[in-house]
Amino acid sequence: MKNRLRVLRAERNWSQADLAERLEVSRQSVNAVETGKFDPSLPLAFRIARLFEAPIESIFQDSEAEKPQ
Amino acid sequence: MLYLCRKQLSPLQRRFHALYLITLFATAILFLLQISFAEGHLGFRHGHVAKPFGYLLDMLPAVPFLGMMFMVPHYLKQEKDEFVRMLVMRALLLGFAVPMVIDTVAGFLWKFWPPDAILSLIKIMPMLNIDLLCMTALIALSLEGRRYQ
Repeated sequence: MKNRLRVLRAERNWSQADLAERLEVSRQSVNAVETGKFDPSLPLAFRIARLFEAPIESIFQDSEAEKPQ
Repeated sequence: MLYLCRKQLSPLQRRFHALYLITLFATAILFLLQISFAEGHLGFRHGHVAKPFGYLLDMLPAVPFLGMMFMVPHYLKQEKDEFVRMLVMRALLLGFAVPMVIDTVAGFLWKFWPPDAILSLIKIMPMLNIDLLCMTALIALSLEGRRYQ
């Protein structure tokens, strides 16, 4: 799953640690989600969406759906 | 153990970390105590003490492990960070796998390798399982933690 977390974070000038603090998770979690090594659960994805005031689908994209049929 | 993957620990993680290390050291100390008892280094051994007391002493090294069996699910239930939870789970699974593999291999070798030294080592192996589990999980978690720095 691809995501725009890094872009959204950069727009707000937040470090990974800042975002981690706001989401109440570890910095490693933010790093793993950002780099696509870890897909967040639905509750965490909702928390991220709420924090950035954006719909989930605008932050997370299903990379499978982009593949040609 | 979490200290190795995350420098700033929550109070819950700090508590789990402390209990985990206590388990590790308690198992090692009780194991040495049990060995000393079995070898008669404590001044008494089986036959000198009442049977139930002797059996209780034999089972002592398992007590911290039983504690860990309650401690780990309790911690996982309370841990809010799902990523750290996944790392701990993965590390513990690896921790379980390593002693199992060593025990299985040692079990097969027992048939083909009768020399006394190896035999006594194989006999001791199951008793070292808990420490092996703790150490493997510790190393696995520190390596996993470094991957996501």
